Amino acid sequence: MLKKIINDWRNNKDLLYHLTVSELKSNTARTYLGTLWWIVDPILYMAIYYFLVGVILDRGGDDYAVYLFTGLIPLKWATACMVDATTAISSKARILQQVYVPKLTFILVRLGVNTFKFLVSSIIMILFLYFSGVELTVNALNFFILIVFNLLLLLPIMIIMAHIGVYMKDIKNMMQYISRTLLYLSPVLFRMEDVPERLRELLYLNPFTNFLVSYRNIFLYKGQPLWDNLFIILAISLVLLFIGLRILNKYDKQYAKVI
Amino acid sequence: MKKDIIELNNIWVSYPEHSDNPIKQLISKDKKQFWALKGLDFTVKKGEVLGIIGRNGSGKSTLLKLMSGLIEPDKGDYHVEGKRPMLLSLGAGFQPELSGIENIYLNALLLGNRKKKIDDNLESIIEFSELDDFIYKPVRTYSSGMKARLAFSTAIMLDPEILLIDEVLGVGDSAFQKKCKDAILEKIQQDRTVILVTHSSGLVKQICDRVVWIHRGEQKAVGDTKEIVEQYDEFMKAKRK
Repeated sequence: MLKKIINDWRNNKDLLYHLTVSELKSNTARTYLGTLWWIVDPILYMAIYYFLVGVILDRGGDDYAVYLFTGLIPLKWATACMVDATTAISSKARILQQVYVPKLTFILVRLGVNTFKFLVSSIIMILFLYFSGVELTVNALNFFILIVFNLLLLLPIMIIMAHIGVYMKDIKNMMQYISRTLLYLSPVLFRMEDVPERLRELLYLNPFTNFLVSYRNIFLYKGQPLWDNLFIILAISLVLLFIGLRILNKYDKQYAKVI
Repeated sequence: MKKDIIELNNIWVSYPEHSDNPIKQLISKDKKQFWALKGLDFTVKKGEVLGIIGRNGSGKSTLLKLMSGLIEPDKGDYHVEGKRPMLLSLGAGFQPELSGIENIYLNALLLGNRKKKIDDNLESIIEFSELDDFIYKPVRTYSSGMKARLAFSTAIMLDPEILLIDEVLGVGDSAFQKKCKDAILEKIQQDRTVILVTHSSGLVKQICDRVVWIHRGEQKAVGDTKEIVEQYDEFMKAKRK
């Protein structure tokens, strides 16, 4: 299986790059703002939530804007990946009926597109932090390691979602609700300190909680990521990745029959 | 004696039977299957032009999928010498918002070509397609004939080892159709292996050396073009009555 994956990678890296770029281009084609949408999108997204909690409810405290932004951006990356993954294979019926393409390619394309948008948003986020007077320390460089850990968690989830999406179209609708629920089960809008003690532990069972707390530690509080928890998540991610790749490999020649 | 380039040994392919109730399908023990191919058994020799004929629903599309490696047989073995054949597909991967050139790259990469090879062949592809300045415009502005021309040009100019052709000659106007046919005939002269899959015997009679006739997933006859096409035409005539 490993040999096939390495072989596929070598044969398909040009295709992967072209598919990702073309998907990014197609998304913004024929819009007036064009690629500016990559910048406008996260700003509008964050403005809505800030308006709701910071202005209308008048909650959150002084640094609420930076707190909100550092949570919303990484979580949006994760939920967008998971929702997009549900149609990664099933929407490619036309291609899959005519040419053989390793299915992982389509999942990596969706991951690539969303990660690119996330990186653009991150640059805006960091600029925003800088202009809000947040002092960034060398700890902020852990951001790059965090991204890798986060990617390794998202990929296996996406593989499994894409697989289910072929056989059960309902998963897309379900995923939209799950991702909304995740927004409220992760410390995005609220702070961990405000959560009752006995619930706090439970929230840490959500892997994204650990990531969000870590992102904030390095950007806002000059601290370190939650290394212990993140390594546990990494171990689970790698097991899931192995399982996911096994599934893709097993069903590789089945998808074209049922799509 | 020419050597076998593709071998099918007693090939059986089934699809899971479609059910209106997916939940029932998920839990029921006896999975119903529909057998699309039942025991196909033939070979394709290097450099020959093989015709595969059959009515709609006879299993031709499944056979194409099998030969281009999209699906695997449930029973039997399928063996290809060298690179597996690719369907001369009609722009499966076209992205309407992108330009013709970008789509040439996308489609050619999907067909398993290296970027370098596409760079080298880009000019001849554009020339063959006769799209001129349209090649810089988004594909959504193309007519369906233009799209088909772009797709065919991309596939044929990249010179695949085995051509798998699925009634592709219905593309474009009659002048372009002739050009497509000439391009295929040229490949045949160069001793390329060509597999033509169709329901009409017209082109088969003109270019094929040998014919396989499939009917309801079974291999009804294999052999000399003249003989098989005669039988097929007679059979079809009898059906029409």
